[in-house]
Amino acid sequence: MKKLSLVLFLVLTSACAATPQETARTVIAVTAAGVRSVDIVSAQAYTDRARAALAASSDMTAYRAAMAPIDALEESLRIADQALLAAEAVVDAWDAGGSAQWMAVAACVAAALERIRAAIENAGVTLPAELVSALSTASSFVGGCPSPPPAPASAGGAS
Amino acid sequence: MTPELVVLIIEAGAELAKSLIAAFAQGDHTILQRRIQDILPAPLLTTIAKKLADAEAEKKFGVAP
Repeated sequence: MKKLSLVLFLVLTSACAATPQETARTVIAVTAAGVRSVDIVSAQAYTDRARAALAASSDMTAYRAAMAPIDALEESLRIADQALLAAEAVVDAWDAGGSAQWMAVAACVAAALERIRAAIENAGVTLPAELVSALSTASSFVGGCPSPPPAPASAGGAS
Repeated sequence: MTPELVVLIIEAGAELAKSLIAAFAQGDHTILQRRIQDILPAPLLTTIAKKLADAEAEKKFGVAP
């Protein structure tokens, strides 16, 4: 059923595009726009949580423990970013891999979205209802990813 | 086509439409032609927030062992 959902999602997006590559680019762009919306809300939430945790914590260990749920959200956003870049690279090299590779990376993007959805829930961050709904639908395609998206380098190394 | 399939198509179409509307509502009418690096900031805003917060925490508590 999940594979069928993914196929339907991709077929539906083709209404906006003429070729399979354009369909794939539409899916990637729409997903990236959704991740950007989550990133904007999460950045403010992170700053607010950090301010409260800094005031309430007596040492770095307590601070890190307080920040752990929203640290996981920050990491999940970076994973989604990497998954989207990987998907875009597959679309750029479409002739080399074709639609089969695209279906695999699209499922991995969905897996990354599911990780974001879970992290948002765990961190208790409030998002607009339509964004939560879109995330839930997109992440329901997670079953087709052959392996979990790779964890990105630590935030300290990202620049 | 089963009723379940019809419902799924309608739901998926509605969610896609919501995402597109959200992008357009942000004034981003060209978003479908843009590349990831033009849509998502590098680093992400949340990652920047984390770096700034980590710096504040290190200033208060010292660098973590």
